[in-house]
Amino acid sequence: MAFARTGVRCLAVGAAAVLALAACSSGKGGGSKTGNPANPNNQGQKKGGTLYYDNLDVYSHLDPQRIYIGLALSFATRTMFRTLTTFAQGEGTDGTTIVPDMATDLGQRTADAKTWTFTLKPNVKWQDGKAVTCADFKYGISRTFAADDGITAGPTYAMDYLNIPRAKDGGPDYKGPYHSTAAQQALYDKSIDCPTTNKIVFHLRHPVADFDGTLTLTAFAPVRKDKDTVKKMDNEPFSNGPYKLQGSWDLAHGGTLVRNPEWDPSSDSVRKDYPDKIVTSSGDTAAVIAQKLIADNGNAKNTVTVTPIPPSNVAQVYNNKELMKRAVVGQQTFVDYLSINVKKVPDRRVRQAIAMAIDKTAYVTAWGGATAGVATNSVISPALPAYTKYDAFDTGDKGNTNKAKALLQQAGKVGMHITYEYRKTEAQDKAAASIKANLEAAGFKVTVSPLGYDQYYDIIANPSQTSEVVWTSWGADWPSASTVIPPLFDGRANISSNFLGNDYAEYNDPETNKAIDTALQLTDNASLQQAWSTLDQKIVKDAVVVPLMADKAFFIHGSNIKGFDVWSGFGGYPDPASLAVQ
Amino acid sequence: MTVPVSEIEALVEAPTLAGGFTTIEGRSPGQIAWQRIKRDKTTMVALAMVVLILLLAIAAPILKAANLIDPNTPHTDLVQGIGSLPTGAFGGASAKHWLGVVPAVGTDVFSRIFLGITLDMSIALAATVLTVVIGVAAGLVSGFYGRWTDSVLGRLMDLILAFPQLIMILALSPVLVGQPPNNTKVIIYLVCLLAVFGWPYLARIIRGEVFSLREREFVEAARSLGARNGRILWKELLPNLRAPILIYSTIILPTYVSTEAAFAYLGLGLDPTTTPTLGSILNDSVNYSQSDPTYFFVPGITLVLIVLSFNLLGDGLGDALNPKADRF
Repeated sequence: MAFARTGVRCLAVGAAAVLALAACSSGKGGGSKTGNPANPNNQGQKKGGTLYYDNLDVYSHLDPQRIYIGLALSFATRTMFRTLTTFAQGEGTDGTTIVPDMATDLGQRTADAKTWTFTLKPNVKWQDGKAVTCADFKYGISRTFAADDGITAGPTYAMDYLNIPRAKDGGPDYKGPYHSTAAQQALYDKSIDCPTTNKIVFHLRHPVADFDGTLTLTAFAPVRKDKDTVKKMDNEPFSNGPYKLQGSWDLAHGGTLVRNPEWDPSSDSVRKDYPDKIVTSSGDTAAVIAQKLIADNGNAKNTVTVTPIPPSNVAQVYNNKELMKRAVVGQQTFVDYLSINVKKVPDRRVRQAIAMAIDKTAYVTAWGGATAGVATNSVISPALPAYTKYDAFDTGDKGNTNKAKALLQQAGKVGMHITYEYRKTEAQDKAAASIKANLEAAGFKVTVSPLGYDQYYDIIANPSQTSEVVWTSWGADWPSASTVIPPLFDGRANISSNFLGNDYAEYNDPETNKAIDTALQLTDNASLQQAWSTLDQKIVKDAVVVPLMADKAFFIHGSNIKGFDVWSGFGGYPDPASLAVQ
Repeated sequence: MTVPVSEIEALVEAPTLAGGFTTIEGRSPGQIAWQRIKRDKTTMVALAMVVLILLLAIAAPILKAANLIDPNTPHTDLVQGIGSLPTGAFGGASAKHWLGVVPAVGTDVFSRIFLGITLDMSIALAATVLTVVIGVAAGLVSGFYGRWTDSVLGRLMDLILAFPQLIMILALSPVLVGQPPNNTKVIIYLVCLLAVFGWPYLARIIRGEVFSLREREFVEAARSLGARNGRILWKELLPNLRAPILIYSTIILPTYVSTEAAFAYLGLGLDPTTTPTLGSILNDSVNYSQSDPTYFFVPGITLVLIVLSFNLLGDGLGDALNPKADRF
């Protein structure tokens, strides 16, 4: 789902993507996998103490099958929910390298990439000491199908990938573990095999060359059937990681995690359980969080946040050498972009005029400059191997008003009225002022419509409420453009009569859909990523979207924190697996 | 503060004519009050400021229409580097942008403040007028009829005064304004709320005045001549209430200006991209208090000047119209 700034999708390279991975990590030595070695803060971590999280955003869900936003994924998978594969620690390509977690290796795949087999490590256990088995994985993954029982909002890759016969509506003929018929359950049971308690075999509908990346999502984490409380899983997660919940979890405010004595460090190559206790809280504004961390008093010394420093405080931190010792700029995998509705703006020339008129550097400036990101022309983040640098309309990052004006005149639409919808923040208000001025200079009439934070995506995905141009943002789920192009631009999967999914442009182009189908049959990850890049360029040149900025995040942390990186695993957030307090 | 001039002193003071004759000239209470104000330098300065503020408020939309001020055009070339702060000293102040530009977008601070005054004054004036209408009507009726009318209205005022206003206003705003907030609705909402929570104070003052006025001889006389209640309220009592109404209006207007700013700070304000108000400018600038102090101080000082001018004028009017009243 689209969740930038609050949420994520991320990047990393599939094991089958060895070529691509090698390409993007070339020139880098072995390097430490526990934090950026250049940062003296990241040496000599010790156990003990309490680590605090002070966040603006809430972790919308803590049920493993329902977590989809990056900041929640990165927190939950490192503390409580282990998966078959996961991302290594570190920034950049270190943090997007896929490594085995509960599995012994990155999986044995058949040549057609349709059957994947994993073996569980012997000493992986639940918080009550019982072993994690194949049946737990099978049960956990089956919960993704139970949208009717309230297991919603999570990624739906299991529904797309697992080889389950389709029902009449085109979806899988299986409704989750709670309400399926015996026949339906039998269909699901065939898609995941448990030959022994510690062996898992996935049968997929089509080749998935980067399936080991898919498995990093907690939607593919195990759940014990006797501990499944359905909707209450958000408040009572059952852990198999280094920490477990103390008391219950309040989605609006957070909760407290303590050590899980049943977690065996020898079974885990990535997680370091430095703090004794982790306390999270949510609800302060970004400015208040930044001021607390800048002041560095009391608990703030032991505090980290997933909330980047807001634009208005950036200069205060950046120009202060002492504060910069505790501040880090990191690449995230989100791209902010505008969607232009092809039903409301059917003329390609008009859409192109919009794309040409926008000054992307002004957007970056509104967010506070280079610490917030760089202007980009591709919906695929530069952090992904599928990224290609290109300039769709030869206008540079600053846009070209005259070119846009000429094209709009040619289309005979000078004075056309456009409503621009965006999710209201102070920076977004300023960005909107620039976008409005850019478009008006090119000959459009523009109304800006700032929308409330909570229902933003519901409104722009509603065909009767969405407008000509809407702001949105997306990050890859794992470092593959398979989690960018099809989820955003396959109109068949996204659009229904009253919901646009992630396809806010209402784009449903037969040619693009066909190209997506062809690409999904590829078993070689490098050619797969190449296919996505080609499609990305076609869509951007059609001016269905106007990419604006490839995001970066600027974080500050307390003075007692060690091991802080912007871990690129799930979008670009702090990594609980390496954080320590002293 | 100034010492109130006594009423007697003002009455015996008489102009000397050129011929050496001294005549006693009759003067209306208005003229007497004006004489007192003229002698009070603080009030005169405040009055001049208030006139200036009102003129600015009227001028801004005209200047905007003539493209002489431009609150909305971004100048991103003037806000560069990490943090997107204005380049140059004093918030990027220059011949083109007298008070600098807004960080991260580069719109002109002077134009925005200028237009902000207009919007703030419009909202505050509208709310004041509404407050006065409701307050005076309720106070007159309550004081004049007494008995159960007074009891009912009195309890209603108590109820409103006992309300946790701020919390109510914030809690109700999403319901009444809707999501996304729309400027017209926000303006109507603000004006109505300010008036709804503001009128009981004025009504109480008016009620007290009416209590003493209705027993006076001129009311008795009117009644014995056969005047109906409506006429007594409208023609006999209301003209005698001009002083408290005028004083109270000058005092609530600035509180409404600062309340608008407070609401904007709490997130209930107009859309700052298209409609700058002092509150929304202040709300944005607070975040830059350390990195761009000019941007922070300019709207703050403007707000202080507006509130101070109206308050001083209100005080001065109070002294002039009601010299025997105690000052608090």
